[in-house]
Amino acid sequence: MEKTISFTSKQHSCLFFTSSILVSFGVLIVTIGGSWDITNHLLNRPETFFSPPHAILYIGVAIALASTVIKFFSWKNFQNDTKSQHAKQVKLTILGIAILVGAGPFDFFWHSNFGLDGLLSPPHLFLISGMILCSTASMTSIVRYSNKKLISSSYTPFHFLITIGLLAVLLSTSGLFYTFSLPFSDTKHFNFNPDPMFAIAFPFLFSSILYLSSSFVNGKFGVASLVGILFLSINASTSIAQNSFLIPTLGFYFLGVIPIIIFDAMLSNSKRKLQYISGAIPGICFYFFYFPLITHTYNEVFSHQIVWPSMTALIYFEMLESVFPLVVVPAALAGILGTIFASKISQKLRLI
Amino acid sequence: MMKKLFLYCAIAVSLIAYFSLTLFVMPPNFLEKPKLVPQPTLDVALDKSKITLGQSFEIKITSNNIGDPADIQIVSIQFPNLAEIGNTVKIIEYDFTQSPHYVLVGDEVGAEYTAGQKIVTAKHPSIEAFSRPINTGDQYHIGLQVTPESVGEFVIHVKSVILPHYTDLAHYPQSGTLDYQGEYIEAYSVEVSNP
Repeated sequence: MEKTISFTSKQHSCLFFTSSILVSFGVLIVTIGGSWDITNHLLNRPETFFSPPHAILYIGVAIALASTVIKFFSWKNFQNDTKSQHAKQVKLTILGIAILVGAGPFDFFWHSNFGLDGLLSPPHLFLISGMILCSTASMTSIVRYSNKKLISSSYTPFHFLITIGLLAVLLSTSGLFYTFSLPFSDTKHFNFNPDPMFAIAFPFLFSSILYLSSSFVNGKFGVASLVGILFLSINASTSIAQNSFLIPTLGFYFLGVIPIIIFDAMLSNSKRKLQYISGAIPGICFYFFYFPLITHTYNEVFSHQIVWPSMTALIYFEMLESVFPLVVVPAALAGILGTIFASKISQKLRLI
Repeated sequence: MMKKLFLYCAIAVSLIAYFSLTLFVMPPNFLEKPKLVPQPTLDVALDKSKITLGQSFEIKITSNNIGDPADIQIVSIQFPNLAEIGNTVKIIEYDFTQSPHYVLVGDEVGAEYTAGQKIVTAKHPSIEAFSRPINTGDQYHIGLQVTPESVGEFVIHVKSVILPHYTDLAHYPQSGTLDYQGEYIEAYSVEVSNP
């Protein structure tokens, strides 16, 4: 007798949510591999495509790909009204994963023909676009699925699972902004080095994601802090701890927990206008949050030195007194704009 | 009301503490640190001082860093008698972390220990061995088998530099003959005679 496995609609729903989380988790792994890869290029100059960070990166792609397949089939079994509610996110996830998977052979082709590529290159842009599409679509699915549980008065596992979705968006979009602000794209065949002024997009992004983290859980304290602290931890482990010369700066870097918790407390305890204004706090701190890579960006404007891994901290702190007064106002404004933007996005996601 | 007032006071104090620490208290600790002083040394061993044409000799070089950790160590082995390396020189031993780089006559190379900020044109071929990063006490080896194609004195120039280069201790040798790059070299030679 043939045995068939059949799922109830509740099980399909649960599978859909789990696979959405796993798509985000896959993208998160890709961003961790990507960040480690940048550090690896700065420290060791890997000479082949087959390096440990690339392996991590493609494991992340595999997780995201497998989860997208599960997500698609669980979505297909939804009833019509639920199906149409999630249709756009599923399509965007599929498009994102197609771009992400296509970026692998494209990257290999590029390495084979043009040697080691810069950070801003067509295959890398392809990869990051796919990551952003996948992570944004999955985060939207997660929020819509768990909306009622997220706004409940007590903490549930959903409050912590949602951080995976938010982190994936924060890190993949940070990756995009890095490609448009770091001077790592002048290679033997092409010079794609961007304008360092683009770095001002970082405070906008950081404030908006932290605001969304709080807004999705109805202002409940803790989730925005968790997202921010996990961001610091990932950056510390992939960009700081890998470089033995930067290990003494870890204490300085983790002081960044203070403004993150303050921002979270402001979001949980103040009225909307004050919430918008408090977006200036994480905005102003972007120069600290995006250490050490931000050193390379502002070195192009202020210092013009060779940023050896052993010299990164010295150059960073030498520039601090020039950079900080200059960026504090635009960064604060960008942070405020980020919270206003995130507020609109949050309302839109909740209404649908 | 009191609870909110207390919260806003705590936020203000925390922000003042944060910006005081990150802008004024901690940066001097990093700015006042003494600069690292790496120091390369080389041990060079030739297995023969005289050969006849058609025979080979071996040169083995061990690099060491007896100073502070640094980012990159380069060992350069130049062949002033040769127009091109061709089959005359073969690498028989190599454990540096990066692949060797072959410099051809006419290539642009860095000069005067500036890590490529000052550029000159290579006047003779060389092999450059790299490791990065380079910790205190790290040793790397390169061995070459050389088969000269003409009689006379076969000359080899050897030098090493550690980057970033802040003091004279960061290059080896620290005195002697300057090469076309304006950097000090140690010269070794093997007498090649007719069989």
